[in-house]
Amino acid sequence: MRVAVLADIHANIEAFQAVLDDLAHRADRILNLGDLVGYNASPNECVDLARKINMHSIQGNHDKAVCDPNLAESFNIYAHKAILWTKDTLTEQNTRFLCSLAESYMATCGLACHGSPEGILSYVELHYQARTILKNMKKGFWGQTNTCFFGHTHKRKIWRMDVRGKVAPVEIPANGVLSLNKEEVYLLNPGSVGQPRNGDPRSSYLIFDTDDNTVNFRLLDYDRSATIKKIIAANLPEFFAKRLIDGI
Amino acid sequence: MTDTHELLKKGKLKDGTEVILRPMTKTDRQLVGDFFSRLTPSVLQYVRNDVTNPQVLDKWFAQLDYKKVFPLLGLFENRVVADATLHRVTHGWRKHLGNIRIVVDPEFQEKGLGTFMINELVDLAHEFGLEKLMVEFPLKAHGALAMFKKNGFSPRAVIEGLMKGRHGENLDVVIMVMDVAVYAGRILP
Repeated sequence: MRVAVLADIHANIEAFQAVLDDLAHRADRILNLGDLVGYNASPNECVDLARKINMHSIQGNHDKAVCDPNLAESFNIYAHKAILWTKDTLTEQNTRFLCSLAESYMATCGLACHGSPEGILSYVELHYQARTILKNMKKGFWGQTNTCFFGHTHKRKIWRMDVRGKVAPVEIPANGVLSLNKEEVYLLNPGSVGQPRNGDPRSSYLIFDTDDNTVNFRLLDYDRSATIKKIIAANLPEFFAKRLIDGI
Repeated sequence: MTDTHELLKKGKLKDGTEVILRPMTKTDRQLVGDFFSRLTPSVLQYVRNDVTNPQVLDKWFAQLDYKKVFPLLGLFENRVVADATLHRVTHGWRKHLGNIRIVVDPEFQEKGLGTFMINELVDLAHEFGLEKLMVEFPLKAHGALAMFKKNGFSPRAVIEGLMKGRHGENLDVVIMVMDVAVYAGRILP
């Protein structure tokens, strides 16, 4: 089975649609690691589409902030403004959908979470953070699996724990394709569909083939100018538009 | 579309005082000038620029560029009571690094305003893609040391006599650094 893993769509319908077009003949299932909304200007379009297609979604911190004012308050000034706008813009039905999502999900291809298995707000960016999660995965803290998919950082990343317990990041090959060793434990971040922060503005997602245990990181362009126009028209911070150009 | 949500955040200090944090804009020239003019020379002695000179402030406002310096104001009843800035270099070997500077009205010190503003700048630094934050100030500023420690900074170096006090005395400077990814999004105001 080929599972497309998407994360951090962030109300960017142009990027979301481009990714769906790209994966149409490449994947059998779609897994969304959260943050359908926030930052960009098409929250209803993205949630409508997510509900329409056969995609399993979990909740991200921006999805949760729509239903949790205390969490929204803890966001920085920019993200806070965007979430208040999003809350006002979302239909009641779409708000209910976001609030009903679970924070993690044990899929057949592995554990799915937004920040980390430890929580929706946790980041896996530093070596010690990855090591803690991988060690606990090996002990079966969150169920029996060798693979965990996470998002939240908006950066493509692979962390691996080898059979000796050594943890290290794995370089993603230029063609994006990598074979996983079934005896090792992995943390995989597909990057962001709607607001990539790797320094490359292209949308990013991955396809995991459970039969041959390979992962294929894909990057693709989309109609960025349309997204930017919508951000400006919605009077959202200009910074959100500029970062889509720079991929930060 | 009408902007119904301004770029600001409200917070409550330890004593219940309600403050607002928001980025400085070009229309704040008067408010910022009033703030610095209220501060005594002992408070201003560690501020890098001569903020009592109107031309210095005019230049700040004329060159306002959030990509280089992100200025965050703390306001109480439409009066600036603190000014914190996040300085960055957009290219080269320091582009992952941000530098923080902060001045708080003595009336509002030890009430949690500094912590509130530093928390916000840490979260913004993460949003801007910065990896490390650095701050330097006189070692004898114990209040600042405690505040930055509370915000996740740790002292990495003390340099003897790097600074001069307003009476010409030598002052030791402490340099504190933090990894943004460790703290961003975790500290709730």
